[in-house]
Amino acid sequence: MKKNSGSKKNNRESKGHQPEKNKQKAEKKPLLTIAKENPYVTGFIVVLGVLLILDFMIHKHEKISIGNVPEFYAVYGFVSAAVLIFGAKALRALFGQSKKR
Amino acid sequence: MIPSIIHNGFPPALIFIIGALLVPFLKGRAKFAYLLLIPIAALAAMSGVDINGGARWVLPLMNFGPGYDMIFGRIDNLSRIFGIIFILISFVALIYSLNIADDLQYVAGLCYVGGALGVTFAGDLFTLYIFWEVMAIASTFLVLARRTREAQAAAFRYVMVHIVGGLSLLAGIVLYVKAFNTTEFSVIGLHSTASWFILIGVALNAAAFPLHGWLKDAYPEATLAGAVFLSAFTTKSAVYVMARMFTGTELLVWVGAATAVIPVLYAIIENDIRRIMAYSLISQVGFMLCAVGIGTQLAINGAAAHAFCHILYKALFFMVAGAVIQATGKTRLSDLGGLYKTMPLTCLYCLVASASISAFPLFNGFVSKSMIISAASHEHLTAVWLILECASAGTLVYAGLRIPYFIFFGEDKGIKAVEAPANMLIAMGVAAFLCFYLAVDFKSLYRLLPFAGGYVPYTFAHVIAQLQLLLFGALAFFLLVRYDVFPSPSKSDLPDTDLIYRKGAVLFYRAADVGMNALNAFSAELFIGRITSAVNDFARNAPAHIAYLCVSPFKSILETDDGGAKNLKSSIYKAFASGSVPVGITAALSTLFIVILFCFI
Repeated sequence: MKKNSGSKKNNRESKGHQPEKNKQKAEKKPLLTIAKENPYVTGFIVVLGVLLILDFMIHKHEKISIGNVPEFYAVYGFVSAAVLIFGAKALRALFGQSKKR
Repeated sequence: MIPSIIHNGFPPALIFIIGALLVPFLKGRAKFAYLLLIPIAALAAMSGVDINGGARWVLPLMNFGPGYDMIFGRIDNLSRIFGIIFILISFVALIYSLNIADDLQYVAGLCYVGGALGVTFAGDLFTLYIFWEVMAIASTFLVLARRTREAQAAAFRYVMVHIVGGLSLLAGIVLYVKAFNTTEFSVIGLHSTASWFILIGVALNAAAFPLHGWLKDAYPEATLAGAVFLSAFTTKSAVYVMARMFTGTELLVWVGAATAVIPVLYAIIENDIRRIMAYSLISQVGFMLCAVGIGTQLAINGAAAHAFCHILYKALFFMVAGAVIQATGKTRLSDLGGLYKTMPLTCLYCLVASASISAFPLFNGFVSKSMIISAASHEHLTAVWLILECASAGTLVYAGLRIPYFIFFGEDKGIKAVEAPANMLIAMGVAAFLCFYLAVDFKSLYRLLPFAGGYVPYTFAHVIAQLQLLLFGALAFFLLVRYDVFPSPSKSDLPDTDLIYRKGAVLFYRAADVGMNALNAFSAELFIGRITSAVNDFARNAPAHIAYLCVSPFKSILETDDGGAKNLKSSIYKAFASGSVPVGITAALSTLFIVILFCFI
């Protein structure tokens, strides 16, 4: 499902390079295989898991009440980053690429 | 005089400015040694001053009386920390720029540092203004020194913007002095028209949204070493002035929050590496402004600590950028990649800077940014806290991950590059070391802060929470990059608020051109074309015209039977044309003239 959404965006952005992109898409390995091959990726995923678990062992005394919700920082970090990245794309779509550099 | 200097010390600002004047006369090793001696001398001069001793280096301003003294040395807890970091970073930047042959950069850079120190230690508005303008002019030369067409244009816009800001500041100062009859200042707040003008002038230098356009416009066009200087002084001295004058102003909380988060959007898609860093600078200054607005002791401590740490890692970023640009000749993210093999040390320093700016634990951003966010939560400012945390995650995305990933890792473009020269590596190494050291021995930083605090950054809960925020943000970044959702670098200029005066200036010029030239043409037509020629026509036959005017009331008497009014008129004109005017008319006119003279004199 994730792959399809990726290729949809690709088709929109690169009409002229369809055959190339399709080839690239075919070469992209699913996440699990990458994780098995690349130790850094495995390590990263393990760390993420550890952080999620550790959340239940810390005593957050946040002055802002929403911060005390379990896994708040993890979710908020992920969502903020994603929102800002999509916001940047929206900014470009709104203001367009006017003059060439 | 010398004993008096030893006893009283000498303002560090003047050490830099006067020191700058001697630089062109020195060469080679002597010049290197001299350059590095200046910050050391300034530090000594500053350290010799007792913090609790009150104002130093006071000069009475003409005969205006007390309250109008020029105070060159207001060194207290707030100004000292800014002074220390300014001198420290100037030392590092001078090491970085040691192999540059262009004396203009040294003189401009040293004057610029002197101006910043002058602003920081100014105890009165007059001295503040003088050094403010010294900074503006000196920094313009750092942009101009690149000597490219874009740099000239950018420098022109830069100096225009800063002149406007300086004028606003001056207007505010004049109004303030008129209202309060003194040039001394501490907290002003936003209570009068004067304070609004001052706020706008200072906010412009601080690159607060929406007055931030000049920074992203000019800094990428500066010289490679000049940008390192530029990154540290204008904005942070403005932050200091804000902290001195506008502590606790609520407007700053919101302006700061907006300034923290909006540039993140631009930084995610910009292509020029130094433009990304410029937006990053604006964003971090937003954090500081927000803290100044919050105004509590923890917040002001946070602003000062963040300024200290930010100067270090931002200078490191610009130094890395300068090294990469010098080695590869490329300034754009889309042209770079795979440089970790050829520039490993520079890559390491970039990673240190990235970790610092992202506020990763064990790097100095963590011990300073946390204070600001904590201050926001202590005051229960939920919206502000959420915005700042969001901006922190965003900072990780564009600065912590995007910059190092696309420059040093990512797609290997096979660029031929060599590692940076030794002096650059040493300068970057010093900054990187401090980024790490200040996070481990954070007490040494906290000791310099304006207020005694007892803030503890490394609690288990806080470290875990921060790691969650950062690493899950990183997860979002990597997933979006993998699935090609992450935006590619923008190929052309993105419009920002500087468009208002860039397009606006062109529109104004055109309107003035059309309007003024039309007015000019109309006036020429009216005054030269019509009126002058009318006067000329009259003057050509003036006696006849005047005679006819005087005689025409008596038309009915003088007219002969066989004609109309034309008869009289044509006979008079004929008479004047031939030069033989009938005696009667001459006599009549002369009598009339004498009567008039007699009546009115």
